[in-house]
Amino acid sequence: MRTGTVRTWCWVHKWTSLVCTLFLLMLCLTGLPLIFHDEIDAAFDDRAPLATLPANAPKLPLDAFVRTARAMYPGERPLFISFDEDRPVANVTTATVARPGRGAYHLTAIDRRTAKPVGALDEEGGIMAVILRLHVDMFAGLPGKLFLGFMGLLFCMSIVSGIVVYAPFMRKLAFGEVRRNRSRRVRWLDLHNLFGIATATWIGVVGLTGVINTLSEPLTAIWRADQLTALTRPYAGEPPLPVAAWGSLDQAVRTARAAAPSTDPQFVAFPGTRFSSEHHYAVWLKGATPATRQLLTPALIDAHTGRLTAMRSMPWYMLALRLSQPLHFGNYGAMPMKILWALLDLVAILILGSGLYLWLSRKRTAS
Amino acid sequence: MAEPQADGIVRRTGGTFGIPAVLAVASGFALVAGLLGDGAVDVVAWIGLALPLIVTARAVWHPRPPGR
Repeated sequence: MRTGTVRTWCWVHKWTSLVCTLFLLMLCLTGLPLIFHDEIDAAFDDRAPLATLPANAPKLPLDAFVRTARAMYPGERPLFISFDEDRPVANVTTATVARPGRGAYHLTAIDRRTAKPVGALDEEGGIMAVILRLHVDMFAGLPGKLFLGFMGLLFCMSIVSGIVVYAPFMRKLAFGEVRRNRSRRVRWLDLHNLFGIATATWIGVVGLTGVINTLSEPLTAIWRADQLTALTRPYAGEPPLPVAAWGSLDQAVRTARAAAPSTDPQFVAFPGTRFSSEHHYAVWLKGATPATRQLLTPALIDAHTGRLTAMRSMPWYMLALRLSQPLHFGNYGAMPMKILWALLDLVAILILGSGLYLWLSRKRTAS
Repeated sequence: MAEPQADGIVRRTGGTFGIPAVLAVASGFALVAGLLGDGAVDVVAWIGLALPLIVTARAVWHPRPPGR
């Protein structure tokens, strides 16, 4: 590589890193406890346990859960119903409008065997909620999210340029060689290079998927405008279906599952919400492997007649968004994977910290 | 593996990116494999992700003696 080229790449590496380093340090530090979010929630779970019923106790119809939630919050409309994986519980979201703002809705957890409400996790309270919001948007909503996405993009550029400048820096060194008999700065330079190159793939994947996750709202808006509008074209121009005219939810889910055997509904979006049209129950079906569990396929069921209007796999950008979640969270390979995720995150913190140190201590060696 | 030449440049099998490429492929494979199933595939994912950590830890705590 020519000296000029090397110098350009070094410049790219220095500035893309410097701009994003403090934010990335914050993301790595807040990300560390978030890897174990489920375990921490479970440890501080003070909800009353579910009623003890025979293991083969039948599950009640879904419509009963919607009635339970609406009885608790009269005047509100149901938005979503989702299903817990580890207990027979359905969660019904209700609000006065179909697209409520943050916090302006109610989430009711309901025992599927009794149709009675049970304790729901308080997802908006506690220290973990604060850490999560810092990590996701720094309490600044969509602009905060997109800003962190941009920082993540710079971080990805710094990873690529870091890999490029690794070669000239390592010209006289073997892999993993740390010059211990030289200055502290040289030692940390060698460690920075070693940590960075060894974990580049993991850091690159977690960084890039983090960037994609910040785009969830714009991507969903594109999906609505692009695919949902096309799928529900026959309904264009019709007024929104009033809640009173909605038919059976159970019928809708049965129709959806019949259209896609060996899938399970992960959630149902009711008419008017962000994940459905004004006239449909959107039944979001999931497969059985960690990948296909993420690749949801929406079946659009006419909420009035209960008939299938359309079912189409999500476009590539929504698939990328869905797959970016496990690849960012590291929650698809049981506890050992979470521990590895945490260790790799610690290495990332060392890379960021040592990079900052190398920049701060640059003057002493230059003079 | 590393043979210092007259110009001081280390020439070694696989070049500068030999071991890093192996680590990159292993962790990339691990990240994807874990998505494709549960159980045995997860073990493959753990090994692939642990590899960069093990190699790094070895280099830090068991440095090669100088001159080799």
